[in-house]
Amino acid sequence: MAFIALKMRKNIFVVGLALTIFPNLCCSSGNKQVFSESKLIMGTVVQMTVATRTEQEARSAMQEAFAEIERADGLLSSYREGSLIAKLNREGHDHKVPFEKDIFDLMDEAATMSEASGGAFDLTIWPVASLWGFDKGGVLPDKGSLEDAVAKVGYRNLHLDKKNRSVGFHRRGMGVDLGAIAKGWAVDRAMARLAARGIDHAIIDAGGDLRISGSRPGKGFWRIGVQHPREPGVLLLTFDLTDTAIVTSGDYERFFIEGGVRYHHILDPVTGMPATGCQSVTVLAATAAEADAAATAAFVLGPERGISFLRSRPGVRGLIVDADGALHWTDGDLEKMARR
Amino acid sequence: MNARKVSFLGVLVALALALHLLEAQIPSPLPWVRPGLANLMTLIAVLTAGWRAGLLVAVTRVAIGSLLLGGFLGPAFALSLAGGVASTLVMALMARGAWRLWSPLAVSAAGAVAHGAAQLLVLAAVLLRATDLSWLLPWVLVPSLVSGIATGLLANLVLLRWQGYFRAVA
Amino acid sequence: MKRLWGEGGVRLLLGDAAVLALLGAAVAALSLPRGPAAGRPAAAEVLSAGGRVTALDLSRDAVIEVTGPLGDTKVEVRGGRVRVLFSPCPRQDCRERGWIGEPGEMIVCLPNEVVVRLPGTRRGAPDAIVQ
Repeated sequence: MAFIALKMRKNIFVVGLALTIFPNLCCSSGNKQVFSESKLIMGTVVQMTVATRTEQEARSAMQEAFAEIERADGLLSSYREGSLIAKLNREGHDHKVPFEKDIFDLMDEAATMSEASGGAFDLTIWPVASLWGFDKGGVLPDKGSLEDAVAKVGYRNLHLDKKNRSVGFHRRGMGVDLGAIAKGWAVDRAMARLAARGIDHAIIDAGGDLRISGSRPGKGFWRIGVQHPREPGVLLLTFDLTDTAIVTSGDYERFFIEGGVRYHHILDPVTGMPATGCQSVTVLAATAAEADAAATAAFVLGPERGISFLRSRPGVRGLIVDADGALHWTDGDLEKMARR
Repeated sequence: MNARKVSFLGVLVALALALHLLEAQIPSPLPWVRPGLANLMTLIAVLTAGWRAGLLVAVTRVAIGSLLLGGFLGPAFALSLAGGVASTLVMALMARGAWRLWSPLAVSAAGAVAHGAAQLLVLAAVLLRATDLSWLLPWVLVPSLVSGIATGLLANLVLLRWQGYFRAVA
Repeated sequence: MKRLWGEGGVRLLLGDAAVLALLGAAVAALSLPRGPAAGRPAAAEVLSAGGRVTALDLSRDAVIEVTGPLGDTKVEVRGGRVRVLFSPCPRQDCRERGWIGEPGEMIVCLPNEVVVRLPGTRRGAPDAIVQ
């Protein structure tokens, strides 16, 4: 009787020991909670969601990340007199303006995107953008001024000196507007700041420019909804995503209506008028900067050429809702991933 | 406490810990809701060796578990500890009627509900004082009750099948 | 010892049924929603220019004013819900949004830089929305 009891005890002990060691080899889900915060920056609602162990960690990291976004806006907004881009626009005709590495690399990326998209995304669209003034609500420019402004647009007239990291203008009256890529870039920087603080599970949402890392604790993903372009408060579809950037450009974000016609903020650099082929474009890419610029380019290119353009870029996927409300996808897998 | 009892409780703690760690790997929208199999060990300790033994198993499991998973002395630890202590004490009370009025099933179910209720109480009164958490009650109590019943049925099975062994140890 | 049901190792007693019934009743009683405000957020957040965040108590009916670059936006709280009552902006989308009451919902007035938001996420709702 005692012998049997002993043997049983030994077996239980061995099993118990094995079970104790085994779980330690797996990753620990930790005891993470989710914290959120929102702020109005860059004329947009910026929302952050992070998963951390303590609220203190979350709040202080988000503070830093918000500060990073504010900093980016201060540096890059063409509408702010004190920004580096505004300075470039004032001085670029007289001499080449030097930039620090990060900003220069951003301009380089924007210039490359301008070329790759055949000018659908054009970082030199400032003369046209400043006429429309969407930062203040928007006004309809007169035909003559618009034609003059369009003539001044052209990424080929921008000179990027890679050796000296400086930028110069080769055409009178031209100017740089990074609006269609700056928000994404700011989001990438903010996400890097969160990562530097050890936060690997977060969402940064800057009014439609989203970057996500990791997943919601307890799940393997974050659930991201895509706004319906014509019905406010309704979702078109949702994706379960992790570690990616997703950006939507839509004609419903900034617009004004005059004479019964809707004029929105995504301008075609060739005509100077709002692009008309699409209602919204949603792009997934590795960085929010790329997704932001690609979404703008695809929107201007229209549903067919836009999808071809997105397909041509490695690691980029997306969908376009055209002017009639029909959906176009870059690939069938993405379509299958979407939930309605 | 003789050597046999000590090693028996040690085995219970080890098993409870192993089950606790395994259950922690399961992804869940409600992270504190676990099958609660580890509580089976506490229950066995209470029923065979008394309430003090049960408390020892429960507290040791929570402490080491929190050291291993992270968050020792943190909010999750406080919740687990409160739940563990409360459920052990309730089970100890219920143990008086065990085998006579009711089976370990009732003991386990009562302990599980006490566990969940204590956690919510600590959450509401200490950790998140300003927020109204009453909407959480069903989300915590119902899974607790269900898990307590499941564990209790398992306990009935285990205790009766191996009663010779348990009697020898206690 | 009243034997209720059993086979093999699972033997249940009358007391078990009594205890379970009692526990079940207690859990059910505690789980019933308490009134129309059950599950609603207790406070809303008002975001205004300059990164300012103010908390808005939803348990007390009130009308508050939020100052922005275009003027004062009036925000009304009634019955645990909130809406924009008046806004100096040109398009008035914020007023048209109407009442919000669920976590995650928000009213945005970009021209006057005012956002009223209910923190949290609805169960089943996405964690974020691209728009």
